[in-house]
Amino acid sequence: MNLTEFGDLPERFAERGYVVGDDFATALELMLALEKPLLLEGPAGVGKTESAKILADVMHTRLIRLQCYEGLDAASALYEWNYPKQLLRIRITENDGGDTLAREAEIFSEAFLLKRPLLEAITQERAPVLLIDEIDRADEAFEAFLLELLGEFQVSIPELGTVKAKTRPAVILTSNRSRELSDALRRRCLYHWIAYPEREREVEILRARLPEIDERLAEQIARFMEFLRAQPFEKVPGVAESLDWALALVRLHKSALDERTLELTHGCILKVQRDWELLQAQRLRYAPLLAGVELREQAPVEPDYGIGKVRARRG
Amino acid sequence: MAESVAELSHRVLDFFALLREEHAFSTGQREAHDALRALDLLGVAERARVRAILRAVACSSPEQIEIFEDAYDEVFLAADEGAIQSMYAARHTRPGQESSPGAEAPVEERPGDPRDEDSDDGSGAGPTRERRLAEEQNEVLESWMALRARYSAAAAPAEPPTIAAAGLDSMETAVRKLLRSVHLGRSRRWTPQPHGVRFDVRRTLRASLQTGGDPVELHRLGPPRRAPRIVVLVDGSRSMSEHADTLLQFAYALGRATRRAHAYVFSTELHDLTRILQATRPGCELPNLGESWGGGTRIGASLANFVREHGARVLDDQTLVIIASDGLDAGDGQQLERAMREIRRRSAAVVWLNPHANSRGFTPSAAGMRSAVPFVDVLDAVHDARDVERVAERLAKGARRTQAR
Repeated sequence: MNLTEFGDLPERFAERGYVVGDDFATALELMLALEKPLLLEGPAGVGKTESAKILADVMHTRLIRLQCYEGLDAASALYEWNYPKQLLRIRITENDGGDTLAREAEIFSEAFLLKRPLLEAITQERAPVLLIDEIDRADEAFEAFLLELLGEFQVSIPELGTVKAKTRPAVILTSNRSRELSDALRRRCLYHWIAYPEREREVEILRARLPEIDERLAEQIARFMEFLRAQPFEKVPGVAESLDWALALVRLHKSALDERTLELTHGCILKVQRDWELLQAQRLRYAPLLAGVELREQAPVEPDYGIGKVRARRG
Repeated sequence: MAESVAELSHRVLDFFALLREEHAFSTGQREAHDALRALDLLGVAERARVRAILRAVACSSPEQIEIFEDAYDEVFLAADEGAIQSMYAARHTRPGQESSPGAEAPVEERPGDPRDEDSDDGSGAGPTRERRLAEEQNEVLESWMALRARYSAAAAPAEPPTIAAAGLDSMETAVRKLLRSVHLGRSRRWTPQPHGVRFDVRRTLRASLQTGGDPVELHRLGPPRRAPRIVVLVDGSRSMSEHADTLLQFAYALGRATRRAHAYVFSTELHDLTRILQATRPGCELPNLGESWGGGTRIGASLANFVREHGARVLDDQTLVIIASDGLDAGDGQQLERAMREIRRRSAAVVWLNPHANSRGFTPSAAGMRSAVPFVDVLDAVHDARDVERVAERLAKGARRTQAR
């Protein structure tokens, strides 16, 4: 794949409101240069799926998406036979007197094949972006089934033979690490971990997606999200929540955060009631953030059976 | 970059070999080839870019990224040009062999070295009063340190244990029995089954070709049984040290029996053992895991850390969590209770293996046990494979009771 065709990737992504770091841009370039799948891992809501959509837009090509779930099988991901059409053909030709093998070859030919996302992706004239989203939700058996496609860019259909890719799609796999993926799958992919953005980067993202946002509000949101992500929440808010919240605040014509606004809009960032209760219990700790004061980190104090106060070793 | 492309290629190959040999990365020939091709295509002008390229090719998990960053700094940012070679050579030198040309010679003992004084030459010159006093003080200090190490949360780390090789076969048999005893319902996948509940159109249609298009032979699909995921959390504190080899053998056998097994060790820190166990052979010592082995115990903090760092990945309604600990906790009891509640809520069942559980007069009165017991489904002891089989039987009985309801 010719990299110069798409110009400077970070710039192209930024034009579309997606701030991409140097490391991630390099991983994307590598994926295109080596024509290898890229496995993106990271917490939910950091922009893994969005990056594939933007890439397809940058490359002016189709995005073919396969959403994974438990129980996903070849019939839903790769191909399925058109059974009503096959039955109809069997009925129409039942008195023709042809031999069984010839009839079988006929009804299991390409004309009776229904293409699903994976087969669709490798039979395109122009290489698309294939997004295999949340691969960790699929079964391990499905993972094994993907190996041939990711390694050789071909699929084997027992009745038809091997279908090789006309053009190699740019394959992005995403995973929230809800389970460990196999080494075999990992070895076939390049790898990039997308972490929660640092505060400055988050401000940059907010401003890229919502140019109308007040600078002080963006800064406050980023600081507050940094605080939230350090809490032991059940559902830690990601960048997607941060953007939702920012959009809600912009729509409410807010130029700064305050206690009342947080109460009214907390549903944008915290999706579990227990997390909200946990946050409310920390009101004193986050109040300075709403007033625009930066928090100082406090060293945890832990007991040690009378031997003395011992500071926890920080990883 | 100042160095020539050929030199860089060699360094990359050596670096990949180092990652493979020392850190069990899958950086084989294909990955090395990809890395060199990528460097050729994307250029080597910027150090940060070279690093990003090698990271994307060599790593396949966030844990590996951490190791990679350290190894990269050590190798590529070292001032010494021959850093990799010397490091690689030093690490691969067998005992008794000279480690490297520049290796330090063993320190010679000086004639007047106080260490010599203990060698009794029969001259009758005993230790002086000051030395005796100092020795007594040392003994007191040592016993204090031993006590501190046993019960304190901030004890010094000890040597890591080995995976017990004796009795591995019977442990593997017991573990397979344990896996069979866990019933977690059916998967959402559909596989061919003679008495399945769904009609298999594809296979039926193919079979119907033999009978003139009439579907005489019906094929069916059904959901297969769910395979359980097992998470083992081993207390690596000093008070559990005598049981460590057996528990490691148990975790090792689980890892061999199913891919859906995860093992962690904790004392004052939590460490993921899964990949380490895969790369270690029975009878061999585990690598040094810092404060995860032989320290004090902060069960609550360690379990909370487990839930936070690994919970999303390994805890769900198909997970059986096995915690092996004596419950002697030097941490916050409330934190342990919160972590246990969370683990129980997000898993299928929790088994607590306490080595003292079957001792006469045992009551779960240790601070940690008291906080944990309300969230535990099975509390038992494990000393060998027979104990694992007993736990399997208890789990199977529990499952039968659940199914009968």
